[in-house]
Amino acid sequence: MTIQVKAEAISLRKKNKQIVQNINFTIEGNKIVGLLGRNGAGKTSLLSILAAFRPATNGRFLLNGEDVFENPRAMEQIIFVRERNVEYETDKVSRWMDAAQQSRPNFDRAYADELAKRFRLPQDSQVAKLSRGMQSALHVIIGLASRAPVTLFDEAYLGMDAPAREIFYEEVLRDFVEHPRLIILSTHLISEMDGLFEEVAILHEGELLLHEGKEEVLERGYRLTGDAEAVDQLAENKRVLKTESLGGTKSVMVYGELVEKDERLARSHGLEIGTLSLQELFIHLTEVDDHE
Amino acid sequence: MTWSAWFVGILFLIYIVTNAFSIAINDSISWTFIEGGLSSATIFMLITGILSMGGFLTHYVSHGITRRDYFYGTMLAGFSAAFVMTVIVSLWNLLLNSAISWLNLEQNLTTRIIDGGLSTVDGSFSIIKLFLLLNLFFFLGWFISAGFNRHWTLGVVLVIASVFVVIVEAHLMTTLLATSVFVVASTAVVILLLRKMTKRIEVKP
Repeated sequence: MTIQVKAEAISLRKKNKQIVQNINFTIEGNKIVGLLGRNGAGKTSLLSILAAFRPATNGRFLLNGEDVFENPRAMEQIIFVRERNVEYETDKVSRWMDAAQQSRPNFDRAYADELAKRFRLPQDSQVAKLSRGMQSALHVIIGLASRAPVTLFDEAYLGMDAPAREIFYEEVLRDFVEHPRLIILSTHLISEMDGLFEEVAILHEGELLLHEGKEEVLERGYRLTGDAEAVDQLAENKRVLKTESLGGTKSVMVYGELVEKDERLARSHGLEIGTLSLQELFIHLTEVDDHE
Repeated sequence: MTWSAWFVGILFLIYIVTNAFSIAINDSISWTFIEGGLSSATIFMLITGILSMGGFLTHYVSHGITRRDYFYGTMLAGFSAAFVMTVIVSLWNLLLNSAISWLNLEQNLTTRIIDGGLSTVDGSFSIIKLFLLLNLFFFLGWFISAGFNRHWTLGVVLVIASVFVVIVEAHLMTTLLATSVFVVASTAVVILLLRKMTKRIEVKP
């Protein structure tokens, strides 16, 4: 059976403040999904509802057709990796892992040990005494080694240095290939992580802006580079996100699908057509509301 | 459980040391081990109860355990901790008393001490009371922290309510039967309310 996560009209209000509003989407099958959003967009809140950490004000999350909230069959399959307060955790790292092993049926201890070595996480230290990056590494290790069918990483890399983040991305991909499951990564480090995503969902001010395959998202914009006059001519009446010029050469980022007619025209002028990065599109999409 | 073992151990040490002092000074033992257990163990259970709402809940929900399972698990843990502590305290008391009689120390002690409890009643009075009170305090602690978890005003209200329950227990319930009925009834009410309060409780990520 393919796994299915479905959000049904999810809203969350906190003290008269609308945190997320009427979110609907369906994710089907094992894949890596990027959940993007600016600070305060509601990423963590949405994921906490999915992980049954809190009930939604309205709507519900279904895992394979069953409401996740207070449902032991669903909760067992979902792991929510996030930054958390471990100030008072006097247990050693290895005992902390034992605890995860006890409640996660697919937990792979050998893999956890291997990851600990890769992240250089000392297993005999107290959890509270780990540095911030090491705490993140510990949470990530548990998240990966638990092999839960639905794995949620909420900005799990916080505090990790660049090499550690690189290990994290590598391991997510490697373990996903070996043990396919549904992984949702929430992030705003888009340029580092966009290679991992198969689908992308963008949250903006509590609303779901889009949820599509990454390729479709990338087709929403393009870049034209070449002779300034020709570029200007083609970019006229189009939504230009950003312009850069150097001498007679100009480069513009255009939002909108590249239609065939324009493509032919651009080629005839000898313009170079490039794709935008997810990050560039994201910046534009989440800014657009401020202007309008 | 590990904490309970530490607690009883330390309590025993304190008991020996303070009484050694008081024998040296007054030539008498002023409190029994059960009495000592009653006052300090209740505080221990209260604090254990308070902790039940914070880190433990987050820990278990993070590992995919439902609030419902956590609730029943913690309830059971509360009962068993109270039970084990009662058993250990009573055993020590028995052991101490036989040591006292074996060493022929009776003449130095009042009957109250040898009874191991309140003078007029038999030893089982204190033991049953100890067990029931340990449970009550555990659930009161949990109750209070569940109140604070929702809103600080509710927490304060529940602190006042709990203090009220304990005062009524200590001063108005004079017989074993009355105490037991009152303590069991209030524990049951607290448990029911707790389940209601924690059914949909939010776990902070």
